[in-house]
Amino acid sequence: MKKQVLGTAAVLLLAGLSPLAQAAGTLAGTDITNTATATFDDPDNPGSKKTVNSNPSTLRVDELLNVTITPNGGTVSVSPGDTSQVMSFTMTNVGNGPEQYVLSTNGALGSNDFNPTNIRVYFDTNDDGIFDPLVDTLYVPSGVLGVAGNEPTLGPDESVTLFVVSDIPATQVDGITPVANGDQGNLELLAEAITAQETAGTDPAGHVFVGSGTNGSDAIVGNTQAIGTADNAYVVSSIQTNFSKTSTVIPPASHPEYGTNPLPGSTIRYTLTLEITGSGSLSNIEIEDRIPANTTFVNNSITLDGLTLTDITGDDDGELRTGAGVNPPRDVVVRVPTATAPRTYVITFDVTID
Amino acid sequence: MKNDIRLQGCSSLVPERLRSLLGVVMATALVVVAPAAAVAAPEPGGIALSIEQFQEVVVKDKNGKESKKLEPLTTAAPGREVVFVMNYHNRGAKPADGVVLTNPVPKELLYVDGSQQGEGTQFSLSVDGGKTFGALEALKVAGADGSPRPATAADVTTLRWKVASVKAGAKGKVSYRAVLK
Repeated sequence: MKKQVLGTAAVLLLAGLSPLAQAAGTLAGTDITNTATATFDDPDNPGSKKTVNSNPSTLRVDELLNVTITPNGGTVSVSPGDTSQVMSFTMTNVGNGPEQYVLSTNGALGSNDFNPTNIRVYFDTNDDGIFDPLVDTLYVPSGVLGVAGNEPTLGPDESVTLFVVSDIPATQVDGITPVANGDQGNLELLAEAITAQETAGTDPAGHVFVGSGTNGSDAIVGNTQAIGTADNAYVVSSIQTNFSKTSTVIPPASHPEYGTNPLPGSTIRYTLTLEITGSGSLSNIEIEDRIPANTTFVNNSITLDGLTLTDITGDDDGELRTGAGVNPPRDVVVRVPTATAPRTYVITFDVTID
Repeated sequence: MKNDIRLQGCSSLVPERLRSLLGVVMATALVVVAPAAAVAAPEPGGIALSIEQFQEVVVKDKNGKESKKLEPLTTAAPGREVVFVMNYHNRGAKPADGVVLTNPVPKELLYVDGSQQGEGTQFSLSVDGGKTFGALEALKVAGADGSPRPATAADVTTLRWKVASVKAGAKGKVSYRAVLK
């Protein structure tokens, strides 16, 4: 069994659609000097030219405070009572100067069935995109407005992955009704540029913090209002899958004495069983299984629930997919567009031993 | 409060044609606003040159009527339009002839199309670092594929103003606008 791809019923959110991916402009704190020159016929020395420079004018580049947060992926499937359920977000400094961002979470947004609890934030310290509580750093805010905790400093256009980790309660917001299949708990992650915490509350775009920017420049609240927010949700999904693979050996017709010994010429029949239990539905299930080395696939041997599927792509839900290369790998592929629990799918295919 | 006004002065929203009109307004406004400081030390028998940088802001009078004015600028955020004004002054006793004012656009800024101004001067610009000058429409730069393409305002590297003669004691000013990248 090489791979089992199970698409959830949720539509995948594409995180890459932010329009703010462009460079953030000239680096904050840069001093831009400008000098003009004048050349003229020297009135005191006819026939010669004279050149004078102007004073240099200096323009210091202000720091724009801009930040975005986007969720990585769609809703997170959980069960009632689960602990440490992980949501992933990407925070990006879309300003033009190095900045720290103070983070906060809100698990009591209302208009949902349950409130996630024990919410913690971790920085993806080793930048591998995978939450590991032993490696990744737990965020510890200072708790004081404008004072940094252990927030990392992000340079212009730099990003960090944030993991929001929560527990799922057993009861809904009312504290009585048990959390059940399909229930949803929303969560918001908010980041504010620490420089913008010079004042409490949200600052309008264009607000100036004089001298508070990089290298003594002014810090100016950008079009994000120096705040990034992103929402995502935990959704209780009581659907479970169980996948198993078995094989039987069938002797060649000319050599019934081979019995169940796997000898050259014998056929191996693989049986893949996908059992979906609980309630709810899954969509876009794709089951792939690689043809083992030293065997040969038996053409048109794929079956799904007893019905033969062709080896051709596109005419039904099964195919034999051939990879690239000199001895390309070949995979049996069977798709199930939607499956509503409870349901069991049985797939078989045959190979002969070379 | 001053800073709040600053935001409103985002004149990049002003249409091109109106902007050149504003240039005239700016020139008159300058008489009132421009600080006297920053003129270079007197050059015996010749031109002294100073450069100043401004932002255009919208101010409301007590009747709520809006007008534009230039305020001196020392810091700017990316996207800010900066007005550069060069003041020339013949401090000598004799006229200065064949005066050529030159200003390279700082590389962190983009010249605003059509913003070059200079009353009584003959002005032109360059897209090759000041080697050749002309009207923007007449200039070409190497395109992405290496073949020449018509130059755009973003290609402008250097601005030039020519004044045939500046009388003794006479003053003048030239200007342009550029947006901070």
